[in-house]
Amino acid sequence: MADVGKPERRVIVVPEEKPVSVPIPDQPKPVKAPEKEPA
Amino acid sequence: MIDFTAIRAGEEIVIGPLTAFRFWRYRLVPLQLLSWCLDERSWLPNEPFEADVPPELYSTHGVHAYKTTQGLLDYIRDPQALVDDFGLGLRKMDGIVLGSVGLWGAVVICKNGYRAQYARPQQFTQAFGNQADEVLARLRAYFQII
Repeated sequence: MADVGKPERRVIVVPEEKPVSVPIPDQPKPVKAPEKEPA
Repeated sequence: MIDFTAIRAGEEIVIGPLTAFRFWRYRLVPLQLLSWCLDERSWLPNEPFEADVPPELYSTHGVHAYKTTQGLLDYIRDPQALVDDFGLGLRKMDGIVLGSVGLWGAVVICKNGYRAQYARPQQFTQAFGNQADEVLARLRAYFQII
């Protein structure tokens, strides 16, 4: 295309990533061990 | 997309994309957005346009764009004359469209603009040629941009 002028330097441009919100799944409720019945 | 293993020691990393200004050819049937150079690859929505060869400091490769709108206008001077002079000849176009692009990847920063590895249209601002107003609306809808 066009004459964009004298080159000055080469850089690496990294596109900014938009933050993504990730839902945290519900933590499983601890399962209570059945109480042992007294013998 | 970016090959991080190709980054050289000492090369600056910039968060982008960089916004710059350029123009394209368009064709109406079917609707096509093409670079001004004789590359016949269409620019497509949702797909970055990639330079044939990543730009190097002392080459001419890369997607060219200007730092400012004024820089672009200083280069093309008379958009309608470009269409009149080149439209039906070698460039095989119905007109030209001006706008902005996002640039990323390896980018050579030049005095008046950039040469970039990847580009994507951000805005279409003006069109000159056949059905110019209509094509502006069609391109904005096709690329889902302003």
